[in-house]
Amino acid sequence: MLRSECLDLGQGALQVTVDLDDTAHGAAVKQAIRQWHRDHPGEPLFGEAAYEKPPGIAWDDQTYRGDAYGAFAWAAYVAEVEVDLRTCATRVIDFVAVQEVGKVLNPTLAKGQVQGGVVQGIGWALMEECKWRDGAMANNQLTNYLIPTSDDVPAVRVAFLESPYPHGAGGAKGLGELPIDGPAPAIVNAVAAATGADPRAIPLTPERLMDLLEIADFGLRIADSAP
Amino acid sequence: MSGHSAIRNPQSAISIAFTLNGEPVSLGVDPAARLLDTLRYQLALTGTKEGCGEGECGACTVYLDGLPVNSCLVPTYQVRGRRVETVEFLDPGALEPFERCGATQCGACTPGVVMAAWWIREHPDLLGTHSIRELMAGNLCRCTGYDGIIDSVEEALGERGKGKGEG
Amino acid sequence: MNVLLPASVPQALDQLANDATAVPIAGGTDLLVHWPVRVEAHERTYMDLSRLDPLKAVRWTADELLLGALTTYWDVIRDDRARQEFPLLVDAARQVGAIQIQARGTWAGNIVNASPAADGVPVLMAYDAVVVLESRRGREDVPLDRFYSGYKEMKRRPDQLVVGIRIPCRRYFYQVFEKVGARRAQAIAKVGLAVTHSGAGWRVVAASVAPTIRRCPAVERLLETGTPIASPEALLPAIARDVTPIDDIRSSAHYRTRVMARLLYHDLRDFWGKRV
Repeated sequence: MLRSECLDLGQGALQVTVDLDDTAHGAAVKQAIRQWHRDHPGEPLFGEAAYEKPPGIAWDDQTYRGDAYGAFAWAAYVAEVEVDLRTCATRVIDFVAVQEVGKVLNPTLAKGQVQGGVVQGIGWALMEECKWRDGAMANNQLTNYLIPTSDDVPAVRVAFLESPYPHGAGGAKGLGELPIDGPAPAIVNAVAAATGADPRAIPLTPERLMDLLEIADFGLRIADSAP
Repeated sequence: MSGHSAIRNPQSAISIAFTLNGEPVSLGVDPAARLLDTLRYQLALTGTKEGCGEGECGACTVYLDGLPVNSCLVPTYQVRGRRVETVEFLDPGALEPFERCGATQCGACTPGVVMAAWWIREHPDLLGTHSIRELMAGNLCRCTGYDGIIDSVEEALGERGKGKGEG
Repeated sequence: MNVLLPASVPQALDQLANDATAVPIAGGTDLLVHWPVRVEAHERTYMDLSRLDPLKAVRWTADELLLGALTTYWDVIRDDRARQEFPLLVDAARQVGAIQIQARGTWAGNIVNASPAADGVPVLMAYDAVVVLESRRGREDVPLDRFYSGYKEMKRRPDQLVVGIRIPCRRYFYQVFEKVGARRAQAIAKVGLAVTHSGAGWRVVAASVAPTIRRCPAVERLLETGTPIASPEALLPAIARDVTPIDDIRSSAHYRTRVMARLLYHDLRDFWGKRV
């Protein structure tokens, strides 16, 4: 809820309360301000606004307990992978990202944000890591800090569900940081399902997967059999 | 970074003439000037971007005799007598699919992306041997995850991809 | 930084004879990557080859393909006959960098840059390519598989210019190129393999597993003699005789050795234990 008080210099206050989920009030505020300027030509109008926490969200900063956020966005990510047992290279051949974000305000941007975050997550899962030497980054160039190219990732299939958050703008919750979280776990789980390996670290580079598969008994048998 | 094309030693400057965006151009360049530097700092064509300076990201893509190249890796003296086109040469109206399909977010990769994408659109026969993703793999993007870019190339090619649907 | 601009190949040879330090530059991709970061790259004299038209030729004769020194990867990718007769050239060319690099990089430049991880050199070597060098002292043809003598050391005198690459036309019964990189484009090979089989015998060429790209005579001998090979592990002794992979920023010796063994074993599954 946004409470706004508009004060003029002495003729009394123009006070309006605006709820963020009610755009009609936003229009009413604009109307009121325009009317005030027509009634007071050439005079300045000052405004002050403060965020008011929605009711029912309790957070105790002393004990660090309670509801840190008013709402959470949710996601379910599915990765389909192919592992080449000769090279232990993993290829993501399909990816589905479903998000529940309250309200999609701009479909093109929302979908783009998810696709971009998923591809960053694929990079994190399979190829991106900082390599250090004497406290400095040894692979600090685009030639040796590797991010996915267009040929390294599938089309990312995106779906949105909407369960509007009453205290969010238009019902929206957050979306920006969400898509980086799920891809790596989904991919590592898929590789585990495909190979029986038990990866616990990312990036799951081919070198690391080879080590894991060599440790597992049946990994050696798979390596010997026909591809 | 050899980020500027100032002629360090006038005696070593090389006179070159070439065709730039359809117009003849003559100028003196330093032997160490990269085409990227000359375009941006000598000719004030700042549409071409330096993303990495090592031919990895493609943000500096221009056409040299009709082929897409990384201008960060072209010594300017090598374009003498040849034809160069930059992103400024593209028809802005033709870029509508890129806006509509979410091909651009922060914009850092966009000049190089549209140069590569437009070139693919002008050479559809390549799709007989190459996928769009392979042809675009020299243009790194961090924001879009490439889907918006691939979609816009398909739009520009006048066909919708038969890929899996999206929500 | 200075640059020489010869107007003809004979003039270029004169300039090389007069200045042993001049660095010939073709597409320039391997050279300009260093310009932003290496001071010594600016203290050199370069010799620009880009306008020497005789070096541009892709020429087919009755029994060979001649790639002029300025032939790019893209030139070969777009050559229908090369796709038919030397498909490994196209396979390798498509895996070099990305199209922006393929449009500029040259096969000759790849040879003289002498990276142990080069993509063009293994397939050229597996096709028995010959490097054609010219100088004021005359012409010299050197088989590519004898061109390298050590890390970044090759049989090119400073006054010699690589003017072309000759590839003999042959009927190939089998050929394969494998590049293992950390991603599908814009990647430096962790392991490279080019294998061909023709009436001239087996050629097994490995990249990124030694200071130079080289033939693998011990592995070739297993193929030539029809030695039975029942697993990738059975190839490890021959591989250990032929190559010396290391740990580096890209990969490990262990990984490289195992991958080379597995690729050879599985790709040549139909040939182990058979004298063909």
